[in-house]
Amino acid sequence: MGLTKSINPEEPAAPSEGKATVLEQETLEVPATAAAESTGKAKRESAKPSRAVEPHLLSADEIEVLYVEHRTLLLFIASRKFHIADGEAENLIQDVFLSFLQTCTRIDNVRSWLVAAMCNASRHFWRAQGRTESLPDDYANACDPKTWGTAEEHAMRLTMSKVVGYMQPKCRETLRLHYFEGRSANDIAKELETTPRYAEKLIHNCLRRAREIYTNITAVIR
Amino acid sequence: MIAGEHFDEEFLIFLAEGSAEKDTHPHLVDCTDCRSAVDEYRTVLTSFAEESTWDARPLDETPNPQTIATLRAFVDRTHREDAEAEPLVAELLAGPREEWMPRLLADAKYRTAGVVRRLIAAAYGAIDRMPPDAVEIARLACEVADNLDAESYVTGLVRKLRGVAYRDLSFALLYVGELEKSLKAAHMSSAELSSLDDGEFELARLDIVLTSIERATEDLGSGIERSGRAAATLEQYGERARAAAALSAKASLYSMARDYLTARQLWSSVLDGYSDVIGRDVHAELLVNIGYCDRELGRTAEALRFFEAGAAIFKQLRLSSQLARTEYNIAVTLRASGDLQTSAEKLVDVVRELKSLGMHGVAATALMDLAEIHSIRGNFPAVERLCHEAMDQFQRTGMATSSLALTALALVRDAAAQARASREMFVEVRQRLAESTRPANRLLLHAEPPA
Repeated sequence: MGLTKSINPEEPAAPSEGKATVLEQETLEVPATAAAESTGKAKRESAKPSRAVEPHLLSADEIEVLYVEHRTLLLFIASRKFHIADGEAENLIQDVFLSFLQTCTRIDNVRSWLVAAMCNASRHFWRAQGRTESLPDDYANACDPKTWGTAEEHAMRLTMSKVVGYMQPKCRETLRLHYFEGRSANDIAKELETTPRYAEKLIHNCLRRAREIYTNITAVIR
Repeated sequence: MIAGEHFDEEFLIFLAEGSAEKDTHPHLVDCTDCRSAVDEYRTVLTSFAEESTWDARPLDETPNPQTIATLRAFVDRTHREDAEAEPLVAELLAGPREEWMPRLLADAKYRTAGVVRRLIAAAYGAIDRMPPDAVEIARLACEVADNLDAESYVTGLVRKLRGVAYRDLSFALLYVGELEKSLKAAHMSSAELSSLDDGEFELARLDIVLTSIERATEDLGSGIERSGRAAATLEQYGERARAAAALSAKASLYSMARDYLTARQLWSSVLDGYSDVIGRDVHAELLVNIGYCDRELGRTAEALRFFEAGAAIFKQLRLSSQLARTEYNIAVTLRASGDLQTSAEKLVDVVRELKSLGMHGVAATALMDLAEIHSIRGNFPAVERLCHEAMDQFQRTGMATSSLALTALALVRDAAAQARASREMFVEVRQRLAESTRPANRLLLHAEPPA
């Protein structure tokens, strides 16, 4: 603990922006370039400031670009946050964009606007479902007003779900047990049939690995 | 500065697992690398607590061609309608405004969604230039929107257009002081927008108009609740400049309710949290508002500091009327702090400036303040002269409702002529003036929403 020299000068221990590092192949389950292409896109979206637009003045090409740019995030919100089936989620995305196009005023932050409208549309979806059929068990969670979040928070969750997807199964499960289910290192040691000390080490190493992947796929490429 | 040395990973994780408030280690202040590493770990850990992070199902990232086709078709149709509407609206708005509505009612060719959109844009453009024109243009937009065939358009489009048109009519009517009609139009807008699944954003914008109406009708409780709700929604939609305006409106309502502490806190939070989206003029207005609250809270030294900071910006921006009002506030604050001489000198300058700007009503109240100082000093000839001058300024405003204040001022002037004008008399003049500037029929403004 405390101040030391960097653990390993060759490792990107204290990352900063401006590097396009390639991930170590053996610890990734997808090609490094694919990781950079796919999830880097999500972060690059959040890194660049959203320009103000007047939706009703956008051309067909411009709206297509916006749809392609924001669709994954909106789908993630509907599908993962509000547990809406992908087909229904796509319909809601279309409704959100149609609503956006009907806005006769300047929109300062397109992504925030779309995310807020997607959350609103998703909540309406569940309310409408409640009028026509029985609701799923997690309806309360899906409609919870606390499920509001900023566009940045949702983008971060999307990025992190991808980070987790790139981790080895053992690491992923260890982190899930510890940080999501709240299981102690002792519990995890029993589950993995190992010592608590090793379990602790594993948690820390996996967390470091998660941060490393996160850092690499969110690096701003200059 | 610690060069080449950093916290080890164990310690970074230890720090990240704690709360950000505990990040007090001096090295974290100096070392941007370690600080950003702790922030990144904290981001990762926060996401690990979210269920969605662990959802292993693959997300289909392929754009849907059907959605793209639908959106492109919608854009093309909208642009076509807007292009067709442009010459129609130019033709409709030709000549004096009294001819516009009869022309519209006489020909069905004007009844398209494109015409409504063009009229909404035209009303917005006319609001500063010719407010009565803006009112009439917004009325035309409502008339067209009311009679559009909803079946011919995308679901909800016509209701949204009606809601937006009535909201703009409400705003234009508010602008020209037609409060009762403005409220009625706002209720029409609310009825349309509330029926939509996607009306949330437009309703938040309507709430800002309604807050302004409630401020004018002194319905403070409702206005405070409404403006707070609008700010929260607009913030979620990334509309930070509009959210800041809603919060500032909320603060002004607290100020009207004489809750200066809450008003001050809110205005300070707008100043601190929204500096990236507010202009320098708004920045200066916020400083002056905070200064006003400080003065009402008895903190005259702080008030003067904020007023002077605001005045400096107004001076740089050459915003004369705002500068004159701020200088007036400084003079009143100096008087409250007991510095009658400096206050009187400043008031003389302020009155001269207000008169030159044609701000006769404010000049009259400034003259009253100056007269009050002379009354305290027993200089009754000056009081008599200043009261006479204040009455002249009030008459120049052309406000029919100022007769009560004029009568009270005449009493003070006559009392000064007999060397017996008192401070209580000035208090009474101010009270009568406040009463005379309130809306005459407040109770009638709470019209029932349309069925």
